[in-house]
Amino acid sequence: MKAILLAGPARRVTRPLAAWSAALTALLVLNTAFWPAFRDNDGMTALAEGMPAPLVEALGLGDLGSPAGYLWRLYTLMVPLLMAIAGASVATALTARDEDGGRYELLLAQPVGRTGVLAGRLLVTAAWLTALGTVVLAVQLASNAAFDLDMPTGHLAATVALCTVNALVCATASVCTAAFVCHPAAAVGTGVGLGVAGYVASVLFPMRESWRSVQYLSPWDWALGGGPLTSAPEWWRYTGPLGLAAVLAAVAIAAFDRRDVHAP
Amino acid sequence: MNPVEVRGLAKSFGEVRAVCGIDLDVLPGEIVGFLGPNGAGKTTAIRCLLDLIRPTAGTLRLFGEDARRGGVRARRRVAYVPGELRLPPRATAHELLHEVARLRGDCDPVRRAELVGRLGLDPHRPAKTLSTGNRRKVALIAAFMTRADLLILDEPTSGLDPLLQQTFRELVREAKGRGTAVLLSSHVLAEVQRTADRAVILRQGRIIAEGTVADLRGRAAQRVEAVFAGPPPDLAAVPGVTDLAVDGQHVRARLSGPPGPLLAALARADVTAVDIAEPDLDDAFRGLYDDRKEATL
Repeated sequence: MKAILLAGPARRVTRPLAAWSAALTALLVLNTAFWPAFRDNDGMTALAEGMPAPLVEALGLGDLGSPAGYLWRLYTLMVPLLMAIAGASVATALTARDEDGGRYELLLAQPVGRTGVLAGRLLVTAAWLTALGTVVLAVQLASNAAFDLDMPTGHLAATVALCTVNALVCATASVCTAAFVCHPAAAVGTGVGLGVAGYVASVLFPMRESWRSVQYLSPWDWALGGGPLTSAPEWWRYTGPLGLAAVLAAVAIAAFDRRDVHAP
Repeated sequence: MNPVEVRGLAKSFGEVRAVCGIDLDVLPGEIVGFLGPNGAGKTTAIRCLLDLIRPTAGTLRLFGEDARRGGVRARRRVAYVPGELRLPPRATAHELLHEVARLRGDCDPVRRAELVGRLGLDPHRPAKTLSTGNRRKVALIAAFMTRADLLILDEPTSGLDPLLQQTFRELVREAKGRGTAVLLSSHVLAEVQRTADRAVILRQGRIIAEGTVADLRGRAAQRVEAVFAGPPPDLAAVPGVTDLAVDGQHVRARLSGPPGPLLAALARADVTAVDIAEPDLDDAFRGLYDDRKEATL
């Protein structure tokens, strides 16, 4: 693969990386800044004791006084969901939005194959999400140090890595849709929709016994369902979602090679 | 191996048949004008050649390579100016040209700088600030800075002022001088007339005429105007005269075939002025697009 097939798209997504990094940094720092107040106040824990157990579990209110319990809410919804939205947006910008804007026309008239072009964009998206995950981990570790939140680095790193893996699945789903149809809204909707559906299936469906088994279909649950903030995740929680992303990528490349490129 | 060999190319979009079985050849060093109004199928045929869209039927070869299976190899020898160049809004022309050069590997930076100067482009402005004409310049530089053996140009001068159109014609002639073949799609007939060796005219996805520009002009009716001292004679019965219009002593008509009968009729009358205009490609084009004449072609 020609290096320019990576360098060109990578240059274009540096601004979104800065914007998403700033947004997530603000979220993480603000959230962590309230930790000392929660640590020293058991009022929330007492409030949770009066609520139904499944609801307490779903909302992450069970152990607010511990570092892992405090970060649970953030890393079971906000961070993975925002990373999934970011990944789907960037993947769509590099594929469906570029094609819809007519920017594939000159590119694909050069001596490059469609497989190389799409594979390059998938790799840039993966690298972009890795960079965003690195920012999240670095900011959270710095915030922990600043606000005395004593959290094992290994557990935090595993959690952020699994958020990144989950976002990669959503981004690849967006690319897959973009490979079938040049429709940016459909592409970003697929990625974000998969993220939201995955969260609902993983966190909310288990509140009802008869729906509990649906969670096993959720890539979100595969990645984050094991409680990585408190226990080391099994190896398949990484490889399962990564395998799904690889399958989606292969389908995307095959589909894109078979259809007409949208005319500007 | 010819730069372009197309046989039986057809392309449908659902129920719409955009191209209906055309054959097309472009020989080395030849400039072929690809003529037709909007919707005739020119751009569709070009996009099939470049493997941007897949034909419904037919075979397409570039330098002997199948346009799909050997597309990457073939496109090393092809440069393309799209009908409309879209750029990432924040990218500059310099960045785009640099990217094209790295994708191709056959571009000369000195040549690129020379073209930037000749076309008067500021390469450091963001794409979102470029006018249509300046975006067209970027596309032309991206094509002409290569060492391609085939240039495929889709409406290359739209948005360019007359001086730049002249520069474009010089660039095409220079390319031809180096042995480069050119497929020039246009609906600007004068552009094709001035640059092309041969023209192919499309209508509703079919080739309705092809030949040298001189051939096509030769097939066209000549425009005749005559002024008489008195009442004009009745020229309607003269063989070859059509579209007769009389305005007082002033007569306008079109003449197909040998001029002898008309000249004899004019000589018998008291004619004070005669103008028989050499037909141009515009006349040929209009004639071919006249439904009444379609059946005779």
